[in-house]
Amino acid sequence: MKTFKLKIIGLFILLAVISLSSCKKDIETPPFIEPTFTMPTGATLKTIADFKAFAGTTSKVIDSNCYIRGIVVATDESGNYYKDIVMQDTTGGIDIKLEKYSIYNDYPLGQVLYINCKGLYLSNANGTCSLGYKGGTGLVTIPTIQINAHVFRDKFPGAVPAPVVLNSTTCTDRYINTLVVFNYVNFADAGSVFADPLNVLGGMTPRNFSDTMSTTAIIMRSSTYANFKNNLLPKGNGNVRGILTKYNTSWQFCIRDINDVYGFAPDLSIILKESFAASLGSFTQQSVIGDQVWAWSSYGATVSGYASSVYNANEDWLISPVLDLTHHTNIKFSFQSAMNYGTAGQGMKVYYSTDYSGTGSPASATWTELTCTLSAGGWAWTSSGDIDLSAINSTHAYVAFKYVSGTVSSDVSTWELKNVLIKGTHN
Amino acid sequence: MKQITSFLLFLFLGAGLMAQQGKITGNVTDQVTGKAISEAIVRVGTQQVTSDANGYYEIGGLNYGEQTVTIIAIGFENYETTVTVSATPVKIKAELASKSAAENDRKGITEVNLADLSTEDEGKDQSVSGLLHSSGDVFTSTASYTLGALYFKVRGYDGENFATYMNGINVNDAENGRASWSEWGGLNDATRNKESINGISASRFSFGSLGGSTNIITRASLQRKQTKFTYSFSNKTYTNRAMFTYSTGLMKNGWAFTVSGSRRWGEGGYVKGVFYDAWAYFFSAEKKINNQHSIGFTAYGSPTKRGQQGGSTQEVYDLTGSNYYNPNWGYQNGEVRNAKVKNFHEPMMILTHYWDINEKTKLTSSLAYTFGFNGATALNWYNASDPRPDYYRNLPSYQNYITGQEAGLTAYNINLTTLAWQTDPKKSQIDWDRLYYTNKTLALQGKQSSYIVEDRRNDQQQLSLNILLNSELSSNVKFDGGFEFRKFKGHHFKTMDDLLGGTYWVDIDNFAYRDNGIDAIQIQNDANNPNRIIKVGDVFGYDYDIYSNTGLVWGQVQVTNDKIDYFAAANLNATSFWRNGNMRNGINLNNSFGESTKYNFGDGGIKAGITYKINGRNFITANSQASSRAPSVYNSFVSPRTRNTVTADIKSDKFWTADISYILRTPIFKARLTAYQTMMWDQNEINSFYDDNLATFVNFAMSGINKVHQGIEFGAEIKASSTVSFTAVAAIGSFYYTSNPKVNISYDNGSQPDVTETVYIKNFLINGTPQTAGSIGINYRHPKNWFFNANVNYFGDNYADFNPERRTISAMPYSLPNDPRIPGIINQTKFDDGFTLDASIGKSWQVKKVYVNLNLSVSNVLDNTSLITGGYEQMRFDFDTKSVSEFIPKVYYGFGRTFFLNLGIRF
Repeated sequence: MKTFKLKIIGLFILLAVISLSSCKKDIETPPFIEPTFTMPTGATLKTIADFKAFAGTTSKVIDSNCYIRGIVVATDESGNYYKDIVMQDTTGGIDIKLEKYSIYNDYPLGQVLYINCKGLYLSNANGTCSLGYKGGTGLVTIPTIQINAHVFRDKFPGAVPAPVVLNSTTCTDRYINTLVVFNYVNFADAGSVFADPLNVLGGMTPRNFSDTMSTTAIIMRSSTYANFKNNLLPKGNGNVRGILTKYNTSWQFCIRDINDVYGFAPDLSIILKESFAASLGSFTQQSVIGDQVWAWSSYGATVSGYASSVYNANEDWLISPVLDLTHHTNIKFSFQSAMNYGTAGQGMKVYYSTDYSGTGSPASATWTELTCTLSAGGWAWTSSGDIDLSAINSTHAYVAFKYVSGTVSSDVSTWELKNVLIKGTHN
Repeated sequence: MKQITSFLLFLFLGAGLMAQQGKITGNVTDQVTGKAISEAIVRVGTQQVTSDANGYYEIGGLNYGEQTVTIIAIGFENYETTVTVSATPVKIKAELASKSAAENDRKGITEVNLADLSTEDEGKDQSVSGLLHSSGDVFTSTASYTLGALYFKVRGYDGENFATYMNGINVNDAENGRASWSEWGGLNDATRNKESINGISASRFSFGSLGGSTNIITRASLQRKQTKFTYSFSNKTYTNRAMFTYSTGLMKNGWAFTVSGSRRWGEGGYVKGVFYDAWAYFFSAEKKINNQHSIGFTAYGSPTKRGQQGGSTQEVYDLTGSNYYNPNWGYQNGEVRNAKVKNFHEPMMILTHYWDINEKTKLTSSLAYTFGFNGATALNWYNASDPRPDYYRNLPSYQNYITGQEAGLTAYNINLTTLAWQTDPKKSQIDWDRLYYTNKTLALQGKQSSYIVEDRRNDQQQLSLNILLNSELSSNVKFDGGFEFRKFKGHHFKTMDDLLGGTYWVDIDNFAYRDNGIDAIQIQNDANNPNRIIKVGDVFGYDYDIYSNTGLVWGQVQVTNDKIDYFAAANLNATSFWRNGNMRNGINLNNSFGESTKYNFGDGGIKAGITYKINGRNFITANSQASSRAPSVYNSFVSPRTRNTVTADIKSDKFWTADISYILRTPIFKARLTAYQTMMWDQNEINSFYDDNLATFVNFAMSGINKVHQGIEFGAEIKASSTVSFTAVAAIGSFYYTSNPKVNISYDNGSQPDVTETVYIKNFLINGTPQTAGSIGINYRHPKNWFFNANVNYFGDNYADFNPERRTISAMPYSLPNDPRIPGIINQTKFDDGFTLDASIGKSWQVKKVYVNLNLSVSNVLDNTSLITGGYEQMRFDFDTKSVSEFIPKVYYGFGRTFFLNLGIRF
């Protein structure tokens, strides 16, 4: 009986000890506190434009107690950026070099950042403004251990500013390192991969795209570490969004991820689009005979040999920019024309050439006439119909409108042109 | 006390052999309780009897002269005495000491000393528990308990060479071949009864294994009748242990029961971030139906959660000022959280039928089933910076590898980083709060978590059948044989344990090689369910089953004679294993889903041994074995997470071994000296590690590994007086590779093509154990039941686990063949030799019918905290610079001074 009691006591002691030692408790989730940042007193807030004005081509130390504030517009999430992010304010944008990987986890798109710039280095090498640390030569990343002393979050990440719509003729330094979008562009190497390790310059593969505004291509650069590196450049025309940069005088561009390349329609690939809505655009005029020339009016590209009540003899050409027709099949050329005062079927002819030099008189080149429907008079806007250019297959093609007038009333017509469009199916 | 006097009395008596025959009788009793011990084995020369219910025995037909009497009873220390047989029957009153509190205590130490170390290599956790064999041999017990704490492996053998049985059921893991003693952790009392075989000696319960075999006997009728309460207090890997055991012994109604339970908990305190949260239960019942038949049933389990310790580099240890720095934990909301937590519960049930067919023959049949779960958590991350604090880029030394920085700036940043490590736990430990903040901000943007905690599971089910026949064919010939069958399924998968504040995860591999762009099928972990959204509890990443069926028959004949004993044994073994993929991996679309080829192996082995008895005190034994073994499943599939591929030229490995021993047994001096040699051929070894640069598991599958293990073992025990004894143990080994194996390197995410290279490691020394070790001990046992012992231990010639890729041609610099960097790349990393001192003291009391023992063990009394017990070279190697200083080895230090206090109450 006594041992029985002892057993019971033993059991109770055991149970008591065990119950005192409760199971390991779950640890609470840390509170989610929105970060806020207030600049210390005595510090001044500079704009990015201020910085760019201050920056030189070699790295320069910032020794004043100043901050910049901006919104992150590009990160390394896709791998296209590496050890840097881009932020912009209302005056411009800047690239910030950080010795850190997967920065987007800490500084996501739309995050407002304050940068304590004192002790950092600024460089405007090759035209693009960067903030980092002084290296042996040039700028290096801000050391990991110093990042938290220089970069501060303010608020939870918010909206990314809307991209500014640019075209190849409207790029200016003010937009460097800001979020922009180009519409109606096409890639010269459509169908190739974004980044090819065998074709790299500074770790990035250059791929040219151009829009209808200029023959000068913009270089899109993509990293061979980007997760979209093996995606194919889309065919046709569409939109590209990303960060504008500059290397000396050439405009360059970086997308943030694959979603920045959108709206491409391979069946409606626009080779040339000129509405003459605001100017003669990419077309140039060449006067062979006479003082009157192709000029812009609110109706479009306009020409007439009648001036100051006098009928003048003229030969005037309106010539397209150079066209590369080798990437497309089923190429269709169309425009609208309106004519008055002249005789139907006279005064205007449409040509193409593959040996025009691009400048100067068209006379030295060989021009082949294209058959099309032209306005018969009375200011009637007339569509040309689809003129087939598929057979031309040249990298160096031009289309041109040739206007001729005489010295009598019946030989002088007035022409207006608009909505020139050359499109094809990208091959 | 009395038996010690009798030792001295017979010490000087001669050993003349006479033709006449005499008799020995006696009683076997428990030294403490005075109760009779039945079923004790009494051995004199070649004869053997068992004691009856009153503990009485009788052995006749003994030659006159000196004879050694050995008494073996489960749960007690072996008893040995030497008597002179003459015309008058000799009476021996044998009072057996229960397995000493000291040994029991040491077991406790071993259990807690071996911190559950996580390594870079999945599935290769540091563990030497397979060595915990007990036997009367002083070398083996010292090697297990004292040197085991220093990661000493007997003869340099890995765990798969030691077989562990539970009531005859093989409990070595069917995939990696190693027994996991933690499955019955905390059940020390209930699993105390063991029979152990060293090396390849004859075994009556199994064919055995290269290094030795242990059978844990859970049979309720053999458990000592008792109620026992134990409480232990320690500063090692747990703080508290409470155990309760109640055994009825065999009751008059033919029933016997044992119940046991335990709880281990607390942080231990020696290594920060480590914790224990474990329960254990044990139930065993037996019914003696009649004199021939008994039925036994045992069920046990040990639901355990424990926070692991991780190794780090010397740079980090120096930086934090502690060789016990643990990178696995960090503060979350001000509380310590460990990222690597083992969580398992694998219950086992065994039904056994004991059939005494006649006095000479017994048939024991066991059927067992085990199931449950076994998980280990770990941080995972995609497209995010490595959250581990000791990631090499977070260390001051990495500043030296950042190009373009001005020299002065590098030094400045090294200082700043060092300062942060020393003052800011957000830098020196996992910054959980930051991980939460990041995931929650990502969630605000609708994005998936960047950081998660995943639970890597290996849930096993096994059905086992074992039939064992023990028969005495004649008075000096014994036959043992058996049949073992195992049907095994291991389910491997990951589950989402914690999204760390995020809302979801997508089951893709962000870093899989995408040859068709961002949406390529390759990124899918399960192409049958692309872009699956994962929430907490969901299976993701990989999901496959390993099936393995094995059957084994064996037989053994043992012959005992006056001068020579010998035995011979043979086995035949059939193995079949295969993989079944439950996911279609995006990179291995046609080689991952469904069943793989079934790999079948037929193997066998033979062994034999001989003992020559020079006289009653001097013996020479020799054993030899040749065997082939099916490759372990673990070392066969090169990347089981992603594909069905097995290592090239898969075949059984082979070994040959021989040992010869001289054994001296006198009442005051016992010694054994053994020389052995083992050769192994055609072994496979697969190491997988996570390459953060490629963000994938990289698998090194080595095949065609040949090894040699040879050396000398010495153990001696001297009884200097009735109270003082000394022990000395030494192991001098030479374990090395004898071939240049092939290595196939493969990448789970397919980012690099597979390559096969030759690994130039011929004559490399085998790592993972000191090749040289020794221990000298003193034991003092006061007649008033208190004891003291101390051991000085030495270990040396210990090497780091090596990176095979560094020993390939592609790791060599392109320049001159005598490039000064070459030795640094290919030489093995050797750790320093070291000494430790352990001591323990204890006392037992009897208060009426209650027996109390209290003991305190102190390990590493001199608090030597600079003893490296193991480590591994990092698998990353900088192929560009060929520098080995960027990724220096990760090492583990043996604990400094720790204590283990144990209080036992038994009645």
